[in-house]
Amino acid sequence: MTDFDYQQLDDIIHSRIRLAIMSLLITVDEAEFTFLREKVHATDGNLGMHLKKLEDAGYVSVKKEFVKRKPASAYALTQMGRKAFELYVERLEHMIRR
Amino acid sequence: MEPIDAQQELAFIRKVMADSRTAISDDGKGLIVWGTLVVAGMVTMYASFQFGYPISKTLLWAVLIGLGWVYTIFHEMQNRKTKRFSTFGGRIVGSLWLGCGVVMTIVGFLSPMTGALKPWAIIPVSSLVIGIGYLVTGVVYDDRWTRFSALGWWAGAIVMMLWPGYYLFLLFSAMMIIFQIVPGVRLYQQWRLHQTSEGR
Repeated sequence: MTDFDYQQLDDIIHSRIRLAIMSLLITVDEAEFTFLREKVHATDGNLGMHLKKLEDAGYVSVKKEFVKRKPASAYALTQMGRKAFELYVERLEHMIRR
Repeated sequence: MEPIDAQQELAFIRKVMADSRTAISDDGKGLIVWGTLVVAGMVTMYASFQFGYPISKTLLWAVLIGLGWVYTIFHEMQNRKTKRFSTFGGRIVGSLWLGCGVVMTIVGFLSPMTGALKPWAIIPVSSLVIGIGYLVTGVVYDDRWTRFSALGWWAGAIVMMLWPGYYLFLLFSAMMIIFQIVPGVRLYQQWRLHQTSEGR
């Protein structure tokens, strides 16, 4: 490939909220829903929808448990998600260098 | 997508990652508690030697170190209940300090009993171990001051090994205040500010 094709940017990641989620999750082993909500500044419904999309793509895994009888969901990047994020950043850098 | 957009996108990623790192930082309470306990022990030891106050050194340190461990275990249990994220770096730093604490506890209590080390040597050896802890912590959290403080701990250890004396207690106390309690207070203030900004 000689010319950079922006359409090769991963559509799943190429959204502000999902990109923020991926950027956060790359820095941690796992993070709870409430932590992501505070950092991403999204509503429960909006964040849940984007997390579901990342989960369906196999980029994010979720672990649901009860803490003090309250449900808590911990999210983590999968190996596939980590690779996709690295590729996404690599392509952005390639675009700037062009 | 134009290159300018790509730059904005990368800048956004960096900002989110940097923001997440500030959330990861320690609350500094452990540094303050352990530092204060050790300074209390060191000053008491100095007064005991310098002014001839009779005290049970083993009992003194058993109480202080015991209090430190009780605090650490309690704090860790609380953290596990309320922690909303975990990091690989955090686990490394936690394990490192746990290891350093165990080593210093063993050296501090067993070497005077067994004669494995001269009693005065416990302080510079502890200083060397603490230096390792600060170096690795500084590298993991990418904090220059923490990394450089390792040099302070090692320089102090060299001075103490070359010129042993009662002043060791005061020098170690001063090092503990400069390289541990003050950074601990700084961390605690940052952590409080972060908590307030998040409305917790």
